[in-house]
Amino acid sequence: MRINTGVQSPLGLGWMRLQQNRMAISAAIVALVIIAAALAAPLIAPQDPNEADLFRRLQPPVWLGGEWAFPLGCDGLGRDILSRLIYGARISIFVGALVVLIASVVGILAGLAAGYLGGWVDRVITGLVDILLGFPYLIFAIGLMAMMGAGFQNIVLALVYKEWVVPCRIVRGETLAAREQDYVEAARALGASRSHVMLREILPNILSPVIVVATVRMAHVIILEASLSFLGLGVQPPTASWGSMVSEGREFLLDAWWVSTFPGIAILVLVMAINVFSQGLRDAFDPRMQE
Amino acid sequence: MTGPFLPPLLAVEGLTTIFPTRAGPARVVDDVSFHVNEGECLGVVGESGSGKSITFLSILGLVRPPGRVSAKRMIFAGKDLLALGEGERRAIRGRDIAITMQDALTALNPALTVATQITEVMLAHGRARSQEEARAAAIEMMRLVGIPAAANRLDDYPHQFSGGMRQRIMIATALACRPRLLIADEPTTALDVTIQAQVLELIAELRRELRMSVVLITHDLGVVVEQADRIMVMYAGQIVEEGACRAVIEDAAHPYTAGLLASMPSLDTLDRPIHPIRGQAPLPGPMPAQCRFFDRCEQASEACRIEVPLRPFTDGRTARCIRLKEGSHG
Repeated sequence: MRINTGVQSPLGLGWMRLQQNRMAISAAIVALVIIAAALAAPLIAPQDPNEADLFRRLQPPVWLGGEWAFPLGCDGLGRDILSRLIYGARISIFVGALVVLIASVVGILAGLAAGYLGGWVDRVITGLVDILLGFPYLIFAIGLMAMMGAGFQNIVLALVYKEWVVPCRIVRGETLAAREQDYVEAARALGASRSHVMLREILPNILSPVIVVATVRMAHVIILEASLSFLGLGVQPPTASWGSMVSEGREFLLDAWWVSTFPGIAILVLVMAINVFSQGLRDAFDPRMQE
Repeated sequence: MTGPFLPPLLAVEGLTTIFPTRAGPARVVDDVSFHVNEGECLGVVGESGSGKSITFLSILGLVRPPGRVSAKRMIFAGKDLLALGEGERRAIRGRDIAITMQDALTALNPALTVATQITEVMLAHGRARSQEEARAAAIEMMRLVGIPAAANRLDDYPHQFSGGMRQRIMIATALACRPRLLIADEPTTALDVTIQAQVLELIAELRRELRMSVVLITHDLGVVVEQADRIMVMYAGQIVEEGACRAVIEDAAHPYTAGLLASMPSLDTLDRPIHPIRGQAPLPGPMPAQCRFFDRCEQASEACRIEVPLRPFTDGRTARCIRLKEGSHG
């Protein structure tokens, strides 16, 4: 009486459901195209993103009388906007992925420890989480950046400092529920150690919501990075970042709208693609979370 | 039963487990002393909440705070369990003493394959040196508990198995390290009657084959009658009667045991209405200093309003009732 549907792990079943969701798959394709472009930046960027030429200053996009070598026009220093967008995607995606990855690992471990061990471990971790939750995210990050100074490493650090709280709270809650399950008791009765129970018995059962939330958070982190860069606290010039590109175009908004608008659209498209995809993930992997 | 010369595999004396409740500390397991001999099957009978499961969770060191466990003596295979640290205690769990949980539907991890769940016990206790060795042993174990096409089903998840099969898999995980003592906690509760019989038969067979001792925890006297050598009846955290299975069944000394027997449907007495025990088991909490069965006992008298000790009376049998005199009862 074997029900044979191929993969049968909870994650496998979720994957099957996800493949049937066209919206989510299209969104994933959009995001993947942007990621691929970022990875292949040196191969596909038409120009050197940092090569300035004041003769091309604020050159309009090709359909407004520009030239094909600079399809989306040039910025205030005459740099190619398309090339800068492609290179800038690297910063957004890399910061987003790295922050979410580190935050998830830290948050999962802290959440498991708080939820499973309880006692003073739980009190310390939840206390820390509550304190961090008390700060507005962006202001907290701005403060940290102001203390540590701008730069790529510091953006990642500043965002991780608060971002780990999100997976931590979810994991703690799920762990509290999972630790009362019979299979945890059974594992303990068979001599499983505490770390074994946490990592091998509980973690596989609570991974779905963590993965779903991690993708949503990636979109948030990308916006935050763009905000920090917009404020001049992010990656330093001349390195291209979507946030700083928007910022640089502010002065020319009336004469040369393309300088700010294209990076703005890029942020919008990437964040929307990730959000739609993560909604699909949620529907596929975590039916409980649907409202 | 083995001879009287061998020391028992497990000997427990004065085991008490206390949980704080709103009404005050509840002695969920109250001064329980018993032993399990090598190769023996001990049936532990009692209603829900009588403390039978907690007794064995206490022995394994699985009672979580705020529950507190104390005992005068707890010896397993010559080792003093009370003197062991948490690490050594854990090493015994699953390797020497294994327990199968009440509900096989929830006691298997839904996110892990059956192979993972069986092999990890072996790997954790060093009973298999490599993944391949553990897998081979897991297939062997699944065959032993009667799962058809074991090798093909090793990588299936628990939800792909039926209830009876899951119970068998749980027994397989418990037996993976060939423990010397298997504690089967309500192994048949979630199963329908035909599967119940199969699982009980399986446990009996494995007991003979692996020469292990079995503690069979159940609320169903019928289950115990067929399997157990000795029987221990628990009520409200205390042992109320203990003795050789047949002797207890044929001639119960404690009114509670008699009540359990009378409430059991039987083929010989189909015409007789089932006679339930009136009232309900007391809630956990502080108990008045009187026989705990007082409120429900049909033979209770004013003389029962004292703490009744567990007393031996005949053929190595003991019971906790004031109407018993040494050498006779009834």
